[in-house]
Amino acid sequence: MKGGLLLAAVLAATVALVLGCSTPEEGEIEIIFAAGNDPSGATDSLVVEYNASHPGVIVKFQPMPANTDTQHDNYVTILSARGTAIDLYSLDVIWTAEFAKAGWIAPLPDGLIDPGDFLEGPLASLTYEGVLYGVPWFTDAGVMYYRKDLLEEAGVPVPETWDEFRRACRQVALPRGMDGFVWQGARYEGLICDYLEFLWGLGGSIELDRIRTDPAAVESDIAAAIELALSFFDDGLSPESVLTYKEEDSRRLFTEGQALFHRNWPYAWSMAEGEESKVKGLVGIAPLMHADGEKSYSTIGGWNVAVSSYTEHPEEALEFLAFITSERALKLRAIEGGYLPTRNATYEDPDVLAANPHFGSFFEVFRNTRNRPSSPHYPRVSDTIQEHVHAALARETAPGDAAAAIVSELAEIADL
Amino acid sequence: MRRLRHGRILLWLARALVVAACLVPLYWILNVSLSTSQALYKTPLDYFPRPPTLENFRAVFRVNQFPRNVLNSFVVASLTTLLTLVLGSPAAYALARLRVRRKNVILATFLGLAIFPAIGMIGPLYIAMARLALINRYPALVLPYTLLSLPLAIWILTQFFSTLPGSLEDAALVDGCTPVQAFVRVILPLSAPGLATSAVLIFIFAWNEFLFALIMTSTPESRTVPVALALFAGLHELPWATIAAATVVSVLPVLALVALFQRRIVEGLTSGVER
Amino acid sequence: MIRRHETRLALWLLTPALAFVIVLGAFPVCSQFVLSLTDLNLKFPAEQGFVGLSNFARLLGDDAFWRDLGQTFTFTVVSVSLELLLGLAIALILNNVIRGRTAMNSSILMPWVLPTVVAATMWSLLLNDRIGLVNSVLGRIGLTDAPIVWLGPRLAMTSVILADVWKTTPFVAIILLAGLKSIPRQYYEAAEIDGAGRWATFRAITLPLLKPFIAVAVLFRAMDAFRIFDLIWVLTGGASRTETLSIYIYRVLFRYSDLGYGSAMTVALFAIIFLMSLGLIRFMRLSSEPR
Repeated sequence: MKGGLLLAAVLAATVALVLGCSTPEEGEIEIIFAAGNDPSGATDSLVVEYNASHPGVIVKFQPMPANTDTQHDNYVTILSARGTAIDLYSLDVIWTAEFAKAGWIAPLPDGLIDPGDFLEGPLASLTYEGVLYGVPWFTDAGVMYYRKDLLEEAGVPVPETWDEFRRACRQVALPRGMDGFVWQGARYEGLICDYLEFLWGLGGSIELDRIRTDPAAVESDIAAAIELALSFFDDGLSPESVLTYKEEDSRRLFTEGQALFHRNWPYAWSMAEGEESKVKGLVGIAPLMHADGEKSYSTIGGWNVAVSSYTEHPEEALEFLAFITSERALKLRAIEGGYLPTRNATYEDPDVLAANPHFGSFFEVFRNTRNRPSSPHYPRVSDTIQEHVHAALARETAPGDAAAAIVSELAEIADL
Repeated sequence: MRRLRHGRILLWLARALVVAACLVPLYWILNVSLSTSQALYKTPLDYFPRPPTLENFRAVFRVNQFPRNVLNSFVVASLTTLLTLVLGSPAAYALARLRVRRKNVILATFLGLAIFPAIGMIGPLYIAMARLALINRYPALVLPYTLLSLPLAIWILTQFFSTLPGSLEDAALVDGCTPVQAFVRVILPLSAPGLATSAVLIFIFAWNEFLFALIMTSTPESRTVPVALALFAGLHELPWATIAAATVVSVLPVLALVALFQRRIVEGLTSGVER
Repeated sequence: MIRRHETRLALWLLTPALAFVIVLGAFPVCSQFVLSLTDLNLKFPAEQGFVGLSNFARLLGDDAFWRDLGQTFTFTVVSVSLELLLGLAIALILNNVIRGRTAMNSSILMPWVLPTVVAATMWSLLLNDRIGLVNSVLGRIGLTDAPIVWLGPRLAMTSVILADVWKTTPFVAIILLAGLKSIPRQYYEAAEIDGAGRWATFRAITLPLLKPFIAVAVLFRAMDAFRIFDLIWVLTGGASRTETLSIYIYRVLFRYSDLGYGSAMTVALFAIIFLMSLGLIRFMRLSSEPR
């Protein structure tokens, strides 16, 4: 019975491992902090540092799959069962209304932070019905990357409007056989971010309150933004495969030198300037384009930290919350992990700027950032927009029909 | 079948094609895992690691929990297999070879369970496991997996038991065995191929499962491989080379197991049923 | 006397499995039926209440449900048919392999050993339009000029089916291979003596004796395919008309926490698969009587 022996060995090893597991000592308080995986190790070292200076408390960092939907769905299951297994959560900026209305996260006590220290957009993402529910941790916002060298060579200025953008693509990219514009068009949360930037840049808005008061206007805004995105395909600026692209797919085309313009998050900068990039030193960043007479907007991404309503140790959890969002923690994470800080002051820190010289210019681009619509039913809002916008871009439905469907479904959601 | 002499070359070609279709995608993962992270972006692609590097494997083992996750998967899958066979083979034996009252009701219960969408069971089972304080422990996965794989195992074993000649137990009873002894000493050994096939099916099901594993475990020490693999992707980054290396590491032990069990299955298949 | 003894023994042998299934399975299964009659939302529990059959009424008018049902059906029929044909072919050509048997059987098992999420991630790399191996090979041998967008609007369903066939044909093949091994050699020897041709032998001996195994393979594959989730979730996220019922249910249960409606859909999916299985069993006249 070779199999039996093998099994016995495995079982013995297991028992040994289970028994040998580290458990908190008598009288020690264990705080579990769940957040997206941090491959840089900065979060781990912050936790080690914290534990060393806080006897009696043991904080454990529980890395989660970084994918926002995977984390969301996992947390929702735990919190629906009023699970106490996690004391602090790192939350995507789009979850606040949902988690707050469900009563899963606790309002932040006054005085824990000075709101004036933080970037406005991320702070606004944490506010639901006038109450602040956590502390911004790191931020993200959409940026247009472009090939500085090619535009300069052709004497084309960096475009500000979509019309100028189109001309630049026609003049510079298409004759070279390059793609003009790569972005994220797969059916997932990223499509919402890109699409809303198109919509806002046309002067549109999709807030749920506005759908109640003026559905027809919202419908035409939605259709116009779909038409804009469709024109990228029609004019040959974007390849059809953009409809399957997430961040890394489009980033790769750009850093391989195969695209002139590229919409992405700031993380792509260090990859464009990295050793493996073919466009190192040739890349510029600009705000997203907009329609004539309108303004440019970037979608706010990034993550906040909030304390679970079901924690058994709210005081200790809050203390760690203050630490992990402190200037020192943000600075370390910025230097080691390239996470964009949420405190204004960190952008002026010489060490941070030395490690990330591009942060200064991103700070400029981030002037006009905007949050996705806030709703306790955000997952529904997002799925509705994703589904219909993607279907329209794939030409499965007409833009007008997709817009009408989105408005009627969002109106239903707004009444929930 | 034995007389198929002509067309032998064709047969071997077909076999080679089948093996290639199964292995080429896997070879590609191996290739990516042994290449530098830039190699994937070359046009035209290199079909061999040039130059080969072990850097990606080093990156995998820098995440010190990963070997633990492989072990977890191993334990969960083994325990599931064991428990399912212990519960399933007597039941299958009864269904296949004994007179059972309300057999249709029993069959319908198992069938009903087999076809119930598992996706709807995750929430209630999570609540049950949380009440029993089993979250992040092996039973939180072993129990649901056994529940889900039991119907398949019973079905397959029933098929196997009913192919054995009916005179076997009679002979055993004449030799002085009790009915239970007849089952354990005569039927089970003869059904080795069926048991082995079921074991492999169950093991692999438990090894593959992602959704329950994601929901039922949340500490790095308790996760199984499919969930741990999801941890290699960053918020936006997708380090293919590292993910490929982690995949290779996680698949190797199972491949070894399959190769090991494989010989037993094949021996069983060819000797056990011949009559 | 012997009969009563036999029934009692059968009961004892069945009890552990039945007890396990009832104790552990009753709660999750029954709760779905009960919840389907409520509008319980775990996120906002204040809104809960008994709503009768209104979730099912909503289901009838839900275009997305019917669309996804159709897509699920297409996926199931096409992928299971392909898997059965390929699996049977593979079982036949791998039967009676003498040299390299272990290697061959191990290699056909490999796709299936791979965790589904890994296989799906792997296929998303292989099918990537720019860096994927598939397009690279097609381009190099000159079959295509421009990269094919495998996961794009036109080919998404085809690609998803392709990945599923690759992943699960081994399951069908191994069950049918086991079935082939269970056919006594004497039958073939007898057929040989009778001078039956290969095709006639296959039709008269192999196929009928393989039937229960085909039935098991098809039944379990069809049930699994009808509930397909992770493969499509990773490859397309349900875009381009690849969303299946399980993905829809997942969204309603796990993203919207709408337990009432999600449970109603689970119950509906259960009913559909139940009918489908009954149909399949009838169709194959699956016998489970003891010999």
